[in-house]
Amino acid sequence: MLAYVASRLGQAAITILGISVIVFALARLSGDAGALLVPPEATPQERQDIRDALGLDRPLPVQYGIFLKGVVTGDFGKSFRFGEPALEVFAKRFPNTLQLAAVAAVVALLGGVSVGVLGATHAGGMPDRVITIIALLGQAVPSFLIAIFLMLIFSVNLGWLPTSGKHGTLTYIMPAVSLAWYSMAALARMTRSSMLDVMETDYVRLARLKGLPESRVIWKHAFRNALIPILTLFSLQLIFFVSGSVIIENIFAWPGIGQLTVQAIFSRDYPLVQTIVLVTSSFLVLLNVGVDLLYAFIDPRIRLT
Amino acid sequence: MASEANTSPLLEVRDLHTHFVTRSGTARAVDGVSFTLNRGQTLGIVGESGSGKSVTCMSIVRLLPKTASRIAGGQVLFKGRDLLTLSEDEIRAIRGAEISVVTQDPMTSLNPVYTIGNQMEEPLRYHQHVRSGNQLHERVVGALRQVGIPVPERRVRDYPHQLSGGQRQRVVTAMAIECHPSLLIADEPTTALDVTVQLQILRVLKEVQQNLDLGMILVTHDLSVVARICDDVAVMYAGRIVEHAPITEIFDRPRHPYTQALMLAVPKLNASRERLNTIPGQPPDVRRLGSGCPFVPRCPKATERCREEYPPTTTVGESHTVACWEATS
Repeated sequence: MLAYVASRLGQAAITILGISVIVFALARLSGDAGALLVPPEATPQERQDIRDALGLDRPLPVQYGIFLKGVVTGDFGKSFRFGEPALEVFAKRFPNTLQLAAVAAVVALLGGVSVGVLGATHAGGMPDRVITIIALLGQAVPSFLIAIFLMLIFSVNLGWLPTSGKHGTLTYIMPAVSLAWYSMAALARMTRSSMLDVMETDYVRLARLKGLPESRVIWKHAFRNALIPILTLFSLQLIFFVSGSVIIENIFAWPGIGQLTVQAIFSRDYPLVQTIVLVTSSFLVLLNVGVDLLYAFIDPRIRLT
Repeated sequence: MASEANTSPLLEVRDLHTHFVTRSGTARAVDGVSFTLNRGQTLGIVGESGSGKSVTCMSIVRLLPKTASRIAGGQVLFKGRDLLTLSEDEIRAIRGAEISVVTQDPMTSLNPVYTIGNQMEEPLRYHQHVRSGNQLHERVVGALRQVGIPVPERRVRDYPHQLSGGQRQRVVTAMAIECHPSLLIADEPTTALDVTVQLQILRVLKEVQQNLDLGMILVTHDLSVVARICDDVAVMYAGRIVEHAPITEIFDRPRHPYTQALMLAVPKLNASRERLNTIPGQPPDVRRLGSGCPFVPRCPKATERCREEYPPTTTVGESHTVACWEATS
């Protein structure tokens, strides 16, 4: 078990290092940041000065070395645009995104799983058919469209929910549902098929032969075995809850990193872009390690490998 | 082995019919099966795949696939109560408590994500409301010891994948007997095991059956298994019992041509012939049964009458019945 944890953590470290190289390289590919920071009428000397000041003239490997050294010591550099440390700018906004993503993830997981189990236990029946159609729609309709529809119905027509911003519980509902929508549908379909497979197994039959109540058979004996593929899908979708927020946050004017990312990219704010991508992806990598550890908790056979 | 004649039987199956509804017609998987079983008695049900032997057993505990199957008629009297008329909750209280089943494949019958102890505690919790951890542990360890699991105290913390096939089958057996049932149904309990392990498991089943004075139904397609532990044998073909007799009787004087063919198909160690004896043809499609005897196409003694009319079940010796025109003429 300890070896399993160590190997997963090792893999995570390598992944994060890889991400840092890619982030660094992609940011440099996007053009000359110095050109954007000076007024159009600046002299060549002034342009050169600013590039010297930012270290943009030095060879790329050296720049990367400086960047990496900074990251390790918690110094991500100053945001070109805000003039503050990039990490601070990021840290002010990240909790908002995280809160929204967490609410959306819970909505998607609870909604998708309960709908999927209901479909599997009533396979072929009326609830199952309705669920299958809804799940298909969920995967076919893009989330920004859902967001706009929700806004039209609940804010414009019914006036029940505020259209945008982050002030109080009510404002979470629409962004979270729109963000969760796609995942929820995918999770419902995965849960349904995974549960159907497991319900056919000999051990579920034996659980019934033992005289256990059907609810116990479903939730204890079938569900835990059906969980592995569901969790795998869920861990892949964790990324979506953060990346999807770029669109959803812009629609609902949510003060998270979604908006910040767009601004940082447009202004070639290298330090800020690097910080956002690196910290966010490291966070997701660690979440995935957490899911891997959950596998081992759910299925004892995984602990051996 | 036989119990006193004046007590009512433990299990009496009367004219049981179980149908499967398929797109290409209704399959009469069990078509008028009747037999009785007393405490302390072991009945072997023998037949080829699809003969209806497993479906008969699953009909007794009413665990058939819900959508496609239905019990179309008959009675299953267990201690005088007709199981077919009980509510879902009532039959659930009997499953695993008074009637237990040992399933076929030990490799897949235990839930891979729970420990042996956890899975074995469940019937005790649900049927006997044992709550205390110590008591549960003792009962589980006791049941495991009874089926010959070495160091059961340690095994209860193991997961199924840490046990061998034979050990897992012992665990499944222990789980079946821990609530002290009076009827044990073993559905091909040794089919998936090595030959040497098969013998051990049969010995365990026989021991458990004798110690607890259980009525036992052993479903198998293997006559040598029957010969080892059964008192009576019922031979099934196409959903019906074609011959039913005490063990010595059926091996010495098989009357039905199908039983005789089955006997011949058992490989003998000292036989010099290289080819195995087989029964020509295939079991019939139970969706398309006519009015005659379904064994006709494979029967060497079939007559015109066999084709038209199913033979009545006739007594031909002490507790020996057979359904065949030729055997009784």
